[in-house]
Amino acid sequence: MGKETIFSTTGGGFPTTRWTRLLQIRESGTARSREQVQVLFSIYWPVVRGVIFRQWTRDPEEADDLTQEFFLSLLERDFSKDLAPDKGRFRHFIKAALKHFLLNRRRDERRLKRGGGARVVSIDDPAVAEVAAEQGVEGFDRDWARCLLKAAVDRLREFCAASDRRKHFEAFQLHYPPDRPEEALPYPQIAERLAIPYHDVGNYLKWARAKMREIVLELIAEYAGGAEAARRELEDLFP
Amino acid sequence: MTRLWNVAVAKGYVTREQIEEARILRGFSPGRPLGEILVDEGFITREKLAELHEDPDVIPGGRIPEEVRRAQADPANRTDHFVRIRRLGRGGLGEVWLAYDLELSRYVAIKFPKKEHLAKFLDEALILARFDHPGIVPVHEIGPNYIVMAFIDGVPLEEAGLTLEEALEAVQQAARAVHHAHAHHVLHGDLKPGNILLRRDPAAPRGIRVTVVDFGISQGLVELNERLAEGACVGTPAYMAPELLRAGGPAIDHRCDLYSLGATLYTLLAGAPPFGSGQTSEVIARAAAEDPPALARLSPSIPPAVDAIVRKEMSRDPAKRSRDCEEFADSLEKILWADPRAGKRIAGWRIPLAIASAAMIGLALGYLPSAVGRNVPDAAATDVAAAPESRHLSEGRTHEKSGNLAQALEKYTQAIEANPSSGDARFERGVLYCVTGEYEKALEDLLAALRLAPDNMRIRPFLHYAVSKLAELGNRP
Repeated sequence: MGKETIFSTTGGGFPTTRWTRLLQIRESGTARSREQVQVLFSIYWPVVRGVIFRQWTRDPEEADDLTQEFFLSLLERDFSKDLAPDKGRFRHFIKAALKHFLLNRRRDERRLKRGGGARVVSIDDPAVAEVAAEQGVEGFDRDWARCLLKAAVDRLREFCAASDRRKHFEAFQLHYPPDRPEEALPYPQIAERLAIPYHDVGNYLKWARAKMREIVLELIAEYAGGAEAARRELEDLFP
Repeated sequence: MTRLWNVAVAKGYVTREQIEEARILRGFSPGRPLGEILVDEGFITREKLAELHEDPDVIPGGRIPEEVRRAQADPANRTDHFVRIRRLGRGGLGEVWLAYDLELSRYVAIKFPKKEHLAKFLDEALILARFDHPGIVPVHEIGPNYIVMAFIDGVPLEEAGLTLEEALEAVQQAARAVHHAHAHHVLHGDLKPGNILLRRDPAAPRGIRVTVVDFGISQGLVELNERLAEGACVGTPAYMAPELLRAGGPAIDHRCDLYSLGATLYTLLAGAPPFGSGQTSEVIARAAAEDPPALARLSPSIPPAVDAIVRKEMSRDPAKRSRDCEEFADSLEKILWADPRAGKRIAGWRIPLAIASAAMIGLALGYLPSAVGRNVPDAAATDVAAAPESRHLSEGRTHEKSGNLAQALEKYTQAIEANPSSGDARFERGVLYCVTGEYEKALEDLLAALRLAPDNMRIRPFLHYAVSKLAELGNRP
């Protein structure tokens, strides 16, 4: 079963539903709108799937199914009871829930394997580190930050297209290529590539950086609740 | 925001918004220091950044040490607000560096795991962050690809040159630290002399303070049992409890760490792990089938009570070990202080473990130094004949400096004859014998010197040297 059958991924975008909305749903005591919750969860789908894919299964379909199972398990129990602003941020909640989910899966698998002989390995054995690395939900926060950046870049692209600033966006992409800093083009080459005056490159980039920051903070505010909380989350996500 | 950037904003060097922009850009190229991005984007000049790093508001403790300043000159040594000074260790999983925290003006240890092991180390950091115990190394900070921990300026137990009394104290302190971890449902999983660091501290009990390090393969009980069931366990075979090595054994609990602590104490007393440190398969087979050799047989200087507690913790049946690490620590404490027989004897002794090691090597070579186990003589006797001894010593040193070794030897011998209880004279002659390659004689003099002057820290290195040379040469007296 594909994830699209239950969760829509909002076209690769990031939060359109405020985290605070979920809290409001909980506080109001009304029945949660399944659709609203699904939209909220869909935002974090890639992060959860990424952890499961790396640490549980390399089978894309199985990773999809397990990711779906994870979110369903959250829906099936009254997860909102576990949520409160003083219990930590939403990101931490999802992370903890995923860790428990994987732990339970591991326990189930162990039952199947019980009785097998133990293999002893020295700690200098490279295989040992591999075993140890399989624990937990490694890479969760990193993926979260990457998802956020990706969504912010998407939104910046849309904004630039809508406001006739395509070259601003292109300059930004050429100067700050994600994960490939070695491919970053210097100002003169960007000017040449985009056929714009050299002195405009700096102005375009200055505008794009500021807009990018604005968008990132908006996206974080979707779940962090409040401008100052969003700035703290930004520091936490991008130390 | 960190202190550095707070000061930068307060001084008007950069705005908070610019720092946030730089943080986001850092997301596109993880690992680049934030300061470098701020400079590259033209938000702050390199000179201003350098000024900031030395600003008294940023560095409350004042000016940074010279070695840090030298290291700082090379930008490659910078990682965020840390200056790497020197590498403390390197292994298959990554590197550990001594570094200086420019924001808090203190030395720290930074682990830089290899990329593929980063997750494992972050797990370790999260585990350590749960603890608050003076015997467990604290985590200060977790960066994108590194972990910052307190710098423990100590030496591993096996290199600490401990007396018997100190070895018991050290393992007792370590056991209490591990008990703290157990109370948080975390096993260490790899306790051994190399993972317990020791510092000399006159204010500490018996002058030593230990810190348990390397919780890298620590795990909760559930996780550990699951991993065993999955078919793999991790550790150092020479110190691993037999139940960890046995297929289809009982469920694992905190008592596997008790076994490792017992094996650690055994190693400190005997000079080698109970079942050797050779082939993994051989160690495992012996640990699973044999009791450790009795310590009393290896070295008569080890009291029976100590032998008994070590054998108890190294029982193959976990149920026969102490209930928990606290009980084990209490047992050691009793031996050190309360036991009317063993306690008093040990409290009065200053038997260096180097001697125990020497005794073992000597035993293997058919030689046991006669000095082992004797008591320290009355200090008053030392003062009576000090004057001629000093003269002979002084003349001997002069001869030695001039290369007249035979005359130096004669003078040192005269100093010993003038005052047989002179630790200094024995030490000088022992060192001279090291120089001339007469290691058996050196060993005898250095052992005597240590017995006479147990606090002379210069003796142990030469003693180790002589012992290692004897072992290396396979000499038999």
